[in-house]
Amino acid sequence: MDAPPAGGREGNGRPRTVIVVDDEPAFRQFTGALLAGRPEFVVVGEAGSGEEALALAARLRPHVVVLDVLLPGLNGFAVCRQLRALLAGVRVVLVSAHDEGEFARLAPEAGAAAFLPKRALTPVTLLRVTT
Amino acid sequence: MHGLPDPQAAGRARGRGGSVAASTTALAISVPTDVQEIVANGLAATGARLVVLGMYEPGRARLRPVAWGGLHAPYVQQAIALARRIAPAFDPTLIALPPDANPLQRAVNVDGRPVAATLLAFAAGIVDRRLLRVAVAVMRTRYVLALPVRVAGEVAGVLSFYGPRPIHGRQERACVAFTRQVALTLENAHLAAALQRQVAALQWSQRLLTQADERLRRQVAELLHGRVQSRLLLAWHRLGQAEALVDVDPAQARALVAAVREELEQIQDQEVRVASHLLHPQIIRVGLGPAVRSLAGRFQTHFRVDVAIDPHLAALDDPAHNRLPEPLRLAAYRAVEEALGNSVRHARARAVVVSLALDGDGSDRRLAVRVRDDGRGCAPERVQVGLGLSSVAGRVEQLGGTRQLTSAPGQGTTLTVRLPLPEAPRRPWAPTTDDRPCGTLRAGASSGSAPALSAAVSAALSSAEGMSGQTIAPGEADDRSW
Repeated sequence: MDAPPAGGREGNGRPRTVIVVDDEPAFRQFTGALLAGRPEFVVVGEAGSGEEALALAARLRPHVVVLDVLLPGLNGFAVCRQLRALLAGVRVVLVSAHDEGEFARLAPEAGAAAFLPKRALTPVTLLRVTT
Repeated sequence: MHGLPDPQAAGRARGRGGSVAASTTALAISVPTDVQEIVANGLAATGARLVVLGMYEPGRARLRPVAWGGLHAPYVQQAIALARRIAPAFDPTLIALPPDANPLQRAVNVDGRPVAATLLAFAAGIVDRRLLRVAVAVMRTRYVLALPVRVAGEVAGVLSFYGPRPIHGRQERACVAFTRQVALTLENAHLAAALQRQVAALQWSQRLLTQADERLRRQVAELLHGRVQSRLLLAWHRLGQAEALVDVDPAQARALVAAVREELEQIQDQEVRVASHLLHPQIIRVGLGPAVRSLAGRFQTHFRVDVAIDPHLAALDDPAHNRLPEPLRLAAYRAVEEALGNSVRHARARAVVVSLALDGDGSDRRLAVRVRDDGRGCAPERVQVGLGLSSVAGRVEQLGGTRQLTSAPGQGTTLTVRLPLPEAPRRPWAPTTDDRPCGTLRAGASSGSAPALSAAVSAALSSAEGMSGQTIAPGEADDRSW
């Protein structure tokens, strides 16, 4: 998959497709609510584990994956690396409520577009780090 | 004494095939009652006139008689009485001899070879020849057959059979069988004692872990019921104020809501994170290095903490493909956490170096964790074991590891923990493009190059190793360590 074009939307004016990956349903719900009604993004799928996320991403080929670091099984760094191998242009945004300093340092090594503390996740920041 | 069968050959083969612990040079066997009873029946079983079981003392400097067959027989008591006319202090039960008192003794005691000889030759240089002549004349024990008694693959003692004629043929075979029975009984006692020690050690570890677990629960409960509860109460109160002001003073209401928002963020940042780390450092799922660096960052307000990570270890500890077992990472993390906590509480340190590296080779590959502070240190005898370090010791022992504490007044304290890796990684490591070293020399600083890290790790380790001071071995640390 090619990298999505710069700007708030895709070149064809459609919003960017997003998958949210977190084992905590409340955070998936929170992110869905956060992006609902925003013209730049549309949440097309949710996954509760890294393995589920990889299968979903292979099927839906999203532009953006919001990915929790501390997943059961494969952690976010491992999933990010595999997502990047699977979909070359995908923008992976790692998120966590823990240990932001270390995770921010490690995120580029895994090929993530950015790391965001969960509390800093807003449509604006998501747009900024995925553009 | 060629031609004599080794009485423990069969028993040794059986024991080695199983889980018999490796022998030690300080093997000291306590002689159970049933062995003493078996030896007491040695005359009837073998036709000898006297049977003596000599066992090594702890340290193996000497052998002492510990069980007898025929000691109370009239001819033995008569011989002892006559011997005491020559040497009033003579007491055969107190004879302790070095294992190599003469060549024949050395052959059986040290080399573990069966020996058949005359009593005069066998006891030459050990017992006064006049007494030996009394023994030969009164007890009619001119000849001796001495057979090594092996336990856990090592000569633990010697069974000596005394008689009027050379012991061979059927009698010799009876002596060999008898010795095998004694050895097997001793071996069973040895294994039972080892098992008992292991059970006791396990119970000790479990007790420590239970105590540590209870302490942790109490800390979290105090945190939740104390600070978190109070701050939530304050936030709840402010929300009530905002609600009351929303119509009359919307600006003030908004300010109060903003203050509540900030308060909730702080609770999440501070209290929830502390409680979460106390219960379980989630970051350990990503890797030991990241977890230790994150931990070190929390201590930077107390002292400078440098973290040095061996690039070979960093390759194993890859966040995207971690090959260090999580229990191992957690045990190492808890050791570092406890050492840093102790440095805060006791050391008055200005700087601490945490080093994570691989030690050893092949199947003895170990994760080596060292935490060295530059604090005031103390003499080993003044160190007291806290619950925290004891629980660290429990975790380490459960994983088959070791820990060592080194300290001296004015020279800081170093905690070293070594944990065995489940399988030896290949050497030399050839990091792939994905195996980038993730070590930094200062928590929170950016990564350095692999050679620079290697040099820095070596410097940090040699610096820690170079500290003078006394070493507290694991066994001693129960009473004397931190």
